[in-house]
Amino acid sequence: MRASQVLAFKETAETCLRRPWKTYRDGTLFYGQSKAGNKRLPLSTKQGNKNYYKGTRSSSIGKFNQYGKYTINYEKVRTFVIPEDLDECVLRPLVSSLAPVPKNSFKGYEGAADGRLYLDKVKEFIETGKVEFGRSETYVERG
Amino acid sequence: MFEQQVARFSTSAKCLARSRKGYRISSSIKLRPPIIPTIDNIKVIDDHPLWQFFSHKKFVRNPEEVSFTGRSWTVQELRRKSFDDLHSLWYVCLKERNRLYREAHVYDQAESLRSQEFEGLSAMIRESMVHIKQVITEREAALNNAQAEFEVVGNEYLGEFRNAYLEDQNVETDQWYDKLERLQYAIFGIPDVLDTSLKVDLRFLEGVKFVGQLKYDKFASKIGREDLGGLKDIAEIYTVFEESATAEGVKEACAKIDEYRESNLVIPGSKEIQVVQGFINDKIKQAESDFEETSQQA
Repeated sequence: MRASQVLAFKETAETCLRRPWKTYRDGTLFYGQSKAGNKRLPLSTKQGNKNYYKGTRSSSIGKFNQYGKYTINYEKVRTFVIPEDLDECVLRPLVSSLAPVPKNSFKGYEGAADGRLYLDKVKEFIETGKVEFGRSETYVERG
Repeated sequence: MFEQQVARFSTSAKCLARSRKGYRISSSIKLRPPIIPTIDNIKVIDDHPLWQFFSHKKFVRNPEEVSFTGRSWTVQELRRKSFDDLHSLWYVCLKERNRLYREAHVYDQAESLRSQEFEGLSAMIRESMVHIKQVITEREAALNNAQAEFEVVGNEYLGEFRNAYLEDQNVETDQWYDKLERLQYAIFGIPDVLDTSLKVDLRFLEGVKFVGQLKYDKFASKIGREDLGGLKDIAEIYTVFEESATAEGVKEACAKIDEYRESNLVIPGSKEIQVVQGFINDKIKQAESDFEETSQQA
């Protein structure tokens, strides 16, 4: 067997690039962060099998006809139902952190979604109508 | 002698530009100094929809202009709000998040840490939106549960209401009129103002029967019209339902029923919805024509 040439062990830029698995004594890699990590990146459209369809998280809104022209199906197009008086809305997305949080009590009921509570509220509405400002100090908020 | 041929550059363009017929460049086009590609040279109309992604038409806001001191809406606060308020608030939040996301992206591209502040704010607003969803889901569940509960205890409640109405000496008061109206609306979904979009269903029919019968039972003995022997079909019940909840109203309704009985018609149960829908449509048409007449006179 012929002895390897001394040049083969010499650290040049080219030889190092041909040996990416090489680690230094302190465990760090010659280049890159990890040897295995690249495999865990998300698939791109160039990878996968021939049927791999990555998509762009957008839904189809129509289809191509036989001549390759795209026709939009307006039943599939997303619509947003915006309130008419949105410009007049005075509510802001956040509340002042100084504002006290109201307390709700569901004593005698299962919770906010209890049907009995809802019925009792309906009965109260029938008896007294909408009460806007009639809340006494002992009033307990039931949500 | 052999002459060397040399290829010439094409001169056709030159000729065409000179001649009147063959044109390359329209004579109406004049050479102007180039438009410098800066943002100032781009004009955008004031009401362009994409301005919704900008706050006060600024490219990005400074952190001082954005308030980071608030907190998200709590469920308890949102439970007080009406559906319309929640609907508006949802879109207010959504639009604000769009703005913040765009600005965070700009700061991110500039490798500024401010993008994290903007994203944090966006997360707080997201919490508000989650709470809105929770409140609406709660309400839907409560309504479904209440409807199931009403199947069980509904008749008992309606019986109590009926007894209270029949036992009260004086029911010709505003309080009772309002109560009846609210009962119609809350239990049977009958609005006090009729609308062309109104669709009569079984629940509506039940309400008409309950209220019509109630009024008749209350006032029949008072006005001495027990000779009718009760209300026989939906047309008669609807006539009483339509009139006001007074002795006078029921008296008028009874007079109409007398006329109706001469025709010897009896409406079968399968046609009830159709008939009531017809009555309501006629009433709306009548009101519309009356309105037109008065407006023409004015």
